[in-house]
Amino acid sequence: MTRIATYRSIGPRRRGESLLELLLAACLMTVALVPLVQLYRISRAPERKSEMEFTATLLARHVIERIVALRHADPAYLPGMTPEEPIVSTTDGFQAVSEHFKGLFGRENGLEKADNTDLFNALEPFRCRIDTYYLDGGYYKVIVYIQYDESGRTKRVFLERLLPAPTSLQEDTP
Amino acid sequence: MNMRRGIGSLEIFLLAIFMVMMGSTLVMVWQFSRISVPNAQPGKDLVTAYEHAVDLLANDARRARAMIAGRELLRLESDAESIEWSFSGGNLRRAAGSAAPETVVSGIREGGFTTATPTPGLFSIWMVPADVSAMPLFTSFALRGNGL
Repeated sequence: MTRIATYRSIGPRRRGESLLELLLAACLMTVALVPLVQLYRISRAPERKSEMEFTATLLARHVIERIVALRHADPAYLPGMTPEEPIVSTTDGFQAVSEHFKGLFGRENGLEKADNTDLFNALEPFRCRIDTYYLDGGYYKVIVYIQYDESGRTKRVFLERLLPAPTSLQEDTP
Repeated sequence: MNMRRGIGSLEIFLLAIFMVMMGSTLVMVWQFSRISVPNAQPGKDLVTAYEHAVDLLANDARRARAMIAGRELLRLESDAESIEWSFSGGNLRRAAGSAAPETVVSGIREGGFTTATPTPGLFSIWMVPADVSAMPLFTSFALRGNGL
């Protein structure tokens, strides 16, 4: 009873926090909110940067899907490493078209301008490069890069695919 | 007599911060839930319609075990149903089973499907929009219903 009486007598006399205490609490809470803000940024849907980036992503998807289909037709198939190559037939005709874009539209050497001018013009700025790596555990990693120039800068979109290496290669690999 | 000094109360301040954090958390949960939903706004603009078409084609190809591909017609056969994609009247349409065709992309000047000999389980789609300033589309899909 005495204790309750004491509490009641102190209750109304409780003083408010000083400005310094509130500022200190605000600082601590601000630091605590940083991860929350980061999580908020991560949770936002990725914004589409440009139409060029969208097209590059679809072209990279084409290559990955083609590799998947070839792999299904021939389980021993592994894509090779390639330098940057055009994806449509070049006007000078000296540069080889990427193997992943040959044979489309019935053209052995890639899409030509006369076949479909609009599509040709849209795809001409893009170039394709393939990097491959053998990984531990008998896996083969394929990275497809689609490169293009935009706003005076060279940009690149890439997609990866992990393939199980054929059994014969796994046995050969030390 | 009230002897209160200083400004505000720490409890009220903490309550306000708590409310802000709860509100932010709810907004984030809402945003995360939206990411998992494919773009469900076809027709808003051309690229959004392209994205919607690519999502639908990817889902259909994931289940498909066989296909019949023509210049402007694609039929994907899965265990459950047959899905038909077609270009007609400047539109890309999708018809699942006996359901009425759904227009997925409109305003197309030219478009079609194509396949290549060394990749029997792969089809490509291309579209050139009627708006000359808009970008064409080209991509491919592998049939994954056979255990890929």
